[in-house]
Amino acid sequence: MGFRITSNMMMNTYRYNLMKSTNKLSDARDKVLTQRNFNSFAEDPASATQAFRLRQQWYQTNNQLDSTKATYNKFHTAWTNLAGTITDLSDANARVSAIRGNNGTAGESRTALANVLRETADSVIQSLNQKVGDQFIFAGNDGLNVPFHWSEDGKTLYYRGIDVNTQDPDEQAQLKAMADERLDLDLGMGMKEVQLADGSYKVVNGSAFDASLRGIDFLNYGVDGDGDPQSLPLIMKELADVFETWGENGQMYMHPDYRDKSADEIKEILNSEDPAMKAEAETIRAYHAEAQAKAYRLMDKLNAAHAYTTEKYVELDAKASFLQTNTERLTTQSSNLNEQVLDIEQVDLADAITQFSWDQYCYSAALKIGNQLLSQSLIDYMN
Amino acid sequence: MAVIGTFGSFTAARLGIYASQASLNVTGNNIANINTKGYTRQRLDLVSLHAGGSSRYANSYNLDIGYGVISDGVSQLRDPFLDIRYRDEQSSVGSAGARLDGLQQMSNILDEVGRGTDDFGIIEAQFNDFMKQLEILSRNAGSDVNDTTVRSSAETLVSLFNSYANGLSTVKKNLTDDLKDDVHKVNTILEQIRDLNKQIRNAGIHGDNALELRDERNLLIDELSSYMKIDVRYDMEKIDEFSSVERINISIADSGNPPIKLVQGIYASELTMAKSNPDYDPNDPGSMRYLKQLVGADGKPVLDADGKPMYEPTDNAKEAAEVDSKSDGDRLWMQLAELKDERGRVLKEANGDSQPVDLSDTILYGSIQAKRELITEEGEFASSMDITLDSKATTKRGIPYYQHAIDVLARKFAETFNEANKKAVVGYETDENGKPDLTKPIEAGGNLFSNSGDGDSSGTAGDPDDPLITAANISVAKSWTTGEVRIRNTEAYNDTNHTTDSKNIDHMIALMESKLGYKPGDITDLLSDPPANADKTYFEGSFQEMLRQFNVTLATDQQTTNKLYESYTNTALNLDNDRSSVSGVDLNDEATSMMMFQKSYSAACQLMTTLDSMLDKLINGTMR
Repeated sequence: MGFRITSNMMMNTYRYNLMKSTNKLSDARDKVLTQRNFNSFAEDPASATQAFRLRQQWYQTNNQLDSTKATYNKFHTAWTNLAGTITDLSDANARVSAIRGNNGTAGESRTALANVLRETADSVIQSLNQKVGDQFIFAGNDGLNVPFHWSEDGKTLYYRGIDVNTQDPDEQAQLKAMADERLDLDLGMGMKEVQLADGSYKVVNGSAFDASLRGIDFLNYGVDGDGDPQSLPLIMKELADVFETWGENGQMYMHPDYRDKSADEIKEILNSEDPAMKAEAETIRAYHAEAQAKAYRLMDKLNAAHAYTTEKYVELDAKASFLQTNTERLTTQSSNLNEQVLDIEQVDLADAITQFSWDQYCYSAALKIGNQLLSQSLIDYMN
Repeated sequence: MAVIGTFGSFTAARLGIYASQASLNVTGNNIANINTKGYTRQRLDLVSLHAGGSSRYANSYNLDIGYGVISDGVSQLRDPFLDIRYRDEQSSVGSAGARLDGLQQMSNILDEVGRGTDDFGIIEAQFNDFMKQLEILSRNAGSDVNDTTVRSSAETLVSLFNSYANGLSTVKKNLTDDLKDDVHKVNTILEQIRDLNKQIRNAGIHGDNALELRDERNLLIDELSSYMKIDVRYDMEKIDEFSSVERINISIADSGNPPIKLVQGIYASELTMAKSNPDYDPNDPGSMRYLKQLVGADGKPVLDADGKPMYEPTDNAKEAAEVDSKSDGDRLWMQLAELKDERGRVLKEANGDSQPVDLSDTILYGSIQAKRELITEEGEFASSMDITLDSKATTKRGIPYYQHAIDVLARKFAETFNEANKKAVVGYETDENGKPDLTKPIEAGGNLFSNSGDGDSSGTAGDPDDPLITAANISVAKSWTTGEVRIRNTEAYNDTNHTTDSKNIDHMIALMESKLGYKPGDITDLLSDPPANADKTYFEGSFQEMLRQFNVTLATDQQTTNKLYESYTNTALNLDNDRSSVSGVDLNDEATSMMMFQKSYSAACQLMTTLDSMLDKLINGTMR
C-alpha cells in the first residue's frame, strides 16, 4: 500500500477481509454441522480418495461377512445332517464288527443286520439329498437337482446321473471331475484370478474358500482292485446281500440250492461219507468259506469306508470352525475399517467447535471494526 | 518589463483569488466524487504568471517580479505503471475465476464426497451395491430372483452414468453460452472505448482534457483486462501541421510484433467465434478453418435427411456459422475482425487495409481463454493437431476430458461385463437314452449392457446408426431386462449340469476389483481427431479407482486454481489500493486543501485591501 490511505481503500480492504472472515466462519460452521473434515473432493483429494477406498473395503468386508455367515449356515446344516448319519453308520458298523467276533451263536442276527445295513445305506443317501433353501447341499455345482438316486432295483447308485461304480472311462473322468469340483467364494482371503493359456480364468489357490460340498466326495466312488465298491452305501448293500445268504438252518452262509433244506438235512449232507453227498458238502463248505471271506473283506472295507467318511466329516467340521473364526475376523476387520473411515472423515468435535467459536469471535470483531471504519476526519474538526 | 502599472498589482490579487476559488471548486468536485467509481483525483495546475522578454531599454536595476498565478488547467493524478500492473493482474484474476467457476460446476456433478446414503457417494455406492448383488448371486447361483436384483442394481448404475454424462454436457452448453455472452460483452466494451475515443479526440482538438471521459474509458479498459490480457499504449496522432492529439492503442498482450490490435484511436476490432471445420489441417494451405451454412438457390438453408443444417468449408470467419456447443466442442476458433471506425470504415495502415486476424489457441489469456479451454481441452485425449496448436494440450483438462473419462469408464465397464457374459455352451440336451446329445448344445449368456434399452447391441465401430457404448447411452440390454438373457454362472461346458456353479460370477466379482488399463484409443470413435497417444495407458486400476482418478484430477485442479485465484485477487486488491493511493480521494487530504485554499483566498483578499489602502494613501493622501 502506498503512502496515502484513502477511506475507499480501507473500505475495499475491509470488504475483502470481511468476506474472507465470513467464508472461514461458514466453513467452520459446515464442519460442525456435517461433522466431516471435508465436504468436497477439492478440500482434501488425498483423504477423500482414501475414505472412498476404505468405504469400498468396508462394503466388501461386509459382503464377505454375509457370505461367510451364509456358507457357515450351509456347512452347519450339512454337519448336522452328517452327524446323524455318522452315528447311524457307527452303530451299524459296531454291529457288523460284533458279528465278526461272534461267528456262531448270534448268527440269526445277520439277516436282521442285512436289513439294518440296507436301511442305513438308504438313509445315508437321503441325508445327503437334503436341501438348504432351494439348493441341494451335497450336489456340488448342480445344486438345483437332486444329487443321488438309486436304480429301480436299489442296487446301483447314481450321482448326478452317473453310476458311481461305472466302468466307462469317460464317465469315470466325469466322476473324478465332479468329486474335485470347487465353489470358490470370496471370504476375504484376497480372491485373485489368473488367466490361463486357453484364455479362461482360474482362482489362485488359497485366495478363495472352497464352499463346495460334493456328496460323492463324502461317500467315495468307483471300485477297488477286488472289484468291490468303494462307496459306503454300496459296501453296506453288498454286505447286506452277503448277510442275507446266511442259512439259519445250517448256521452258515448257505448256497442258494440248499437254503430251503432243514437243519437235519444239511447236517446229513455235511456228515455223510457218500461220495456224491461229499461233493455236495464240499460245494456248501466252499460257498460258506467264500461268503465268509467276502463278508470279512467287506467288513474291513466298511470299516475303512466308515473311517473315510468320518474323516471327511471331521474335515467339514474343521472348515465350519474356520468359517466361525473367519466371521469373527471379518467382524473385527469391518469395525476397524469403520473406525479408519471415521478417523479420516469425522471431525474432532471439540476441535471443530473451538475453531467455530474462534471464527465467530473473529467475525464479530470484524463487524465491530466495520462500524468504526469510517472514523472522523479532519473535516469534523474544521470550524 | 519590470514596471508594473498602477493597478497591475490588483491583477495578482485577482488571480490569487481566482486560483483559490478554482482550487476550492476542484476540491469540492473531488469530495463530491469520492464514491464515484473510477473517479481519478483532480488537481488544479497552477503556474506562476511571469511576463517574459526584456524591455526596449534595458536597465540592470530592473526587478523581475511575477504577475500572480495562472490556473493552467485541471489534471488527473494517475500512475500509468500501476494501471498496467493492475490490468495484468486482472487478466489473471479473470482467468483463474472463470476456470474455478467452470471446475466448480463440474465438481457439482462429479464430486460425491459427503453425498449419498451415509456419505457412501452416488456412483461409488452403486458400484459397491452392484458388487454386493453379484456376491449374493454367487452364493445363490442359479437363482433368477438374485439375477434380477443384480440387474436392478445395474439399471441404477447405468442411469447414473447417463445423468452424469448429461450433467457434463449441460455444463458445457452453459459455459459455451456464457462464452458467447462474454464475447458479446468484449465487443460492447470495444465499441464503447472506440466511441469514447472519438469524443476524447474531438475534445482534445478543442483543447479540452475530457477528464471524466478518460475516467470512463479507464474503467472500461479495466473491465476489458479481466476478459483478456491487454497492452495499453498512448501515442500522438497528428491532426494537421501544427497540432496533434493523444491516441490510445490497445492490443493483445504478448501477441508479437506488430501486436494484434484491438483498438487504435477511433478504430476498433470485433471478436468473433465461428464454427470450426473438423477436417481442418493447419499443414495444408488449401484447408479451410470454418464452416458456413449451406444455402440453396432459393436462399433457404439446405437440410440433411435428419433435418439438420448442412455446412461447407470457408476461410471467411464472417460468413461462418455460429458456434454450437454440441457439435463444436473440440475446437473453438476465434478471430478479430479488421479495425473499423463507427461508420464501418476500415483503418488504412501503412501496407493497406487492416485485416482480420485469427487468434491461435494460445494467444489469449484471461477469462475468455479460460472458458475456451474449459470447453475444448481434452487432456490425455488430445489429437496431434491439438498438440501442434498448443504444446501443452495433453495437460490441459477441460469439460471434454471429463466427458471422455466417464465415457471410457462406462465403455470399459460395459465391454468387460459383456465379454465376461458372452454366449457360451454350458451343456447339451439329453437324448432318449438320457445321454447328452453333442449336436444340441445349450447356450447361455449374452450382452448385459447395450447402447440403448431397446436392443442388445453394444454397437458397431464406424456405424453411426449403431454407436458404441458411451456414458450417455449405456443401458441394460433389452434381453437382460426381459429375462431372456441372464448372468451366465458357469464357464464350464461339459455334459454335466452346473446349475449352481458360480465360477463365472466369481470371475465377474474379481473383475470388479481387477486392474484394467484405460487408453485414449478406447474411445477414438467419439473424438473428432484420433488421439495422439491412442495406445498409451494413462491409468490402470479398477472401475472405482478410475472414478476416483478423474475426481482427484478435478479436485487437484480446483485446489490449485483456487489458490491461484486467492493470490491473484489479493494482489489485484493490493494493486487497486496502490492505485487508489495515488488516484483516490481522501477526506483528510481534501480538508487540508480546503483550509489551505481558504487561507490563500483570504490572503489574496487581504492583499487587495492592502493595495487599496496603499493607493488610497497615494491618491487621496498625497494629492491633497
